[in-house]
Amino acid sequence: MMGLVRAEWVKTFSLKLWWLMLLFGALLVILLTLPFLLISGVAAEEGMAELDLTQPGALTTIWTTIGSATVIALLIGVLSFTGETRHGTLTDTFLTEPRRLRVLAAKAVVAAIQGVFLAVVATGVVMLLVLWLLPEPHAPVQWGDAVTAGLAAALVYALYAVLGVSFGALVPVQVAAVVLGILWVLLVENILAGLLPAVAPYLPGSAAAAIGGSPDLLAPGVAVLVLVGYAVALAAIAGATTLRRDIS
Amino acid sequence: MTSVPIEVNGLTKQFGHQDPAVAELSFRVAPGRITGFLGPNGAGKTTTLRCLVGLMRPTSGEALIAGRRYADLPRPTTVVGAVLDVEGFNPARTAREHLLIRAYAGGIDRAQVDPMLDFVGLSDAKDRKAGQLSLGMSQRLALAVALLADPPALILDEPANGLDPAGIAWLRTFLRGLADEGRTVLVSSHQLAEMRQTVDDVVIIDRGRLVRAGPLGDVVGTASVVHVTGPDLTALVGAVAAAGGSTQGSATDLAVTGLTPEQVGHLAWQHHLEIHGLRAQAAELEDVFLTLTSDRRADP
Repeated sequence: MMGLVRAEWVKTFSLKLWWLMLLFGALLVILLTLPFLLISGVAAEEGMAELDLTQPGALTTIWTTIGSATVIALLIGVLSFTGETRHGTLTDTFLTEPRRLRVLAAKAVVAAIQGVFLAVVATGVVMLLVLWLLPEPHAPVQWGDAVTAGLAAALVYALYAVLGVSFGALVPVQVAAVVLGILWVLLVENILAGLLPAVAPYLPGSAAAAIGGSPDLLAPGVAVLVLVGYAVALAAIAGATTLRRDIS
Repeated sequence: MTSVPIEVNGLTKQFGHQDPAVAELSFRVAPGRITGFLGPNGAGKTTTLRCLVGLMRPTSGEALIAGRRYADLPRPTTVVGAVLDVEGFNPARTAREHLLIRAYAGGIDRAQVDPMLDFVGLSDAKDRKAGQLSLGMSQRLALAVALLADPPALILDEPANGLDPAGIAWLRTFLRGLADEGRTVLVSSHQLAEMRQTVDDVVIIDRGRLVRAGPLGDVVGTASVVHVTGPDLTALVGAVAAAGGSTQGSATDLAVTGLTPEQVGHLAWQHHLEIHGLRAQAAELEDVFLTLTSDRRADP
């Protein structure tokens, strides 16, 4: 199993794609953080107080952007599997390890580590932005809160990347999996949450927010289990369907 | 070198509701020899090979390597190396990275990677990306991946495809060397002229079914025509039929097919027949192949 993980590691880090995904993740976090830092200041001066940075706890809202690149984490996992179907390397992968679920497990381990890296980058980026751009006056900056948000993001991204691997195995056509993944995170999930408030807390996005400390949602521990449950369920379905398929 | 036979027993593979791609196919591949797996395009060669290495699930029957299904082999790449498609490389990874991935995933010593690149003549191209390799180089890289764990059996699907004459000559010498070391080598091809010079045994299939299997000499030999002349060969007609051959011509001038010249001569001697002439007209593998497969095509 360790050998499989190392093989997946080489596969990942031999491609520029991974660094590109990390860059996209950083850009997304920057785009979501900047409005708070640039517009909130103006709003506060004009008494609109959308986000009054002088209030204790106001910065907590900014720190939540550290965990806002879930779609990138998901895609990291999706690309790990669908990259192989796209380039035909799946033949070689399954020749080397015919027990296909073990391949999926090895990919999940590496994707989770990539998710953690993404969280480290996101945390660093947001901290730097706050350091450079936070307008005066503002409440004292609690850097510890940023670290806490970063740890939560690491957990969320790792779980989303694992979820992405399972989803990629289930939808092995790369373009389809990527488009569906993006649509789900940015659109479908929000619509579903609006239509079905009862199940809303159990949707992956809500579970991710719960791990990030949002109130009125699941307890963080339960939220972790929900995300693990999705990953395992999708992997199990893939294992019984698409993963059993003939490789031609 | 441990000897590892390859066996296909009653293999059937059906996709959807179409006619089976492979039907009740059985053959055995012996160690230490190069076996050509021949058939026209679409005969079911690739499907059979993919069933052998666990990439496809047989509808019924079994395909065994060293007596086991591929998926049941512990560390299967150390038992059998397979080259199935040359395009199976990520164009952005280097030749060496592809071998490194196989080494890690297959539990193979990483120290084998560089010597293997030398062995297939790719040491100068090891840091080149797979997308920049020529077809011949990709073939060599695929061979390097398959041979990395020093497996006693080798399965190659159309390895001569797209190779230039020099590449084909190289491949022939390469495969002969591997078979001489006692390895089991199964090579599929539709390029018959090429195979004639390379293989020891042949397995010919058409439309998913076995047409002929055996040593190349026997298969070509029985397909050749043996012309026999003598004063009265009436007794030979029945003897040939009893031995599984067929005859055409008159009682003084017979053309025998389906038997080797040795077999025909022996039959004549057994029946105390006076023979004035016995001449074998050798068939080429192409002739055999076309005869055998067109027979089947004429069948309803």
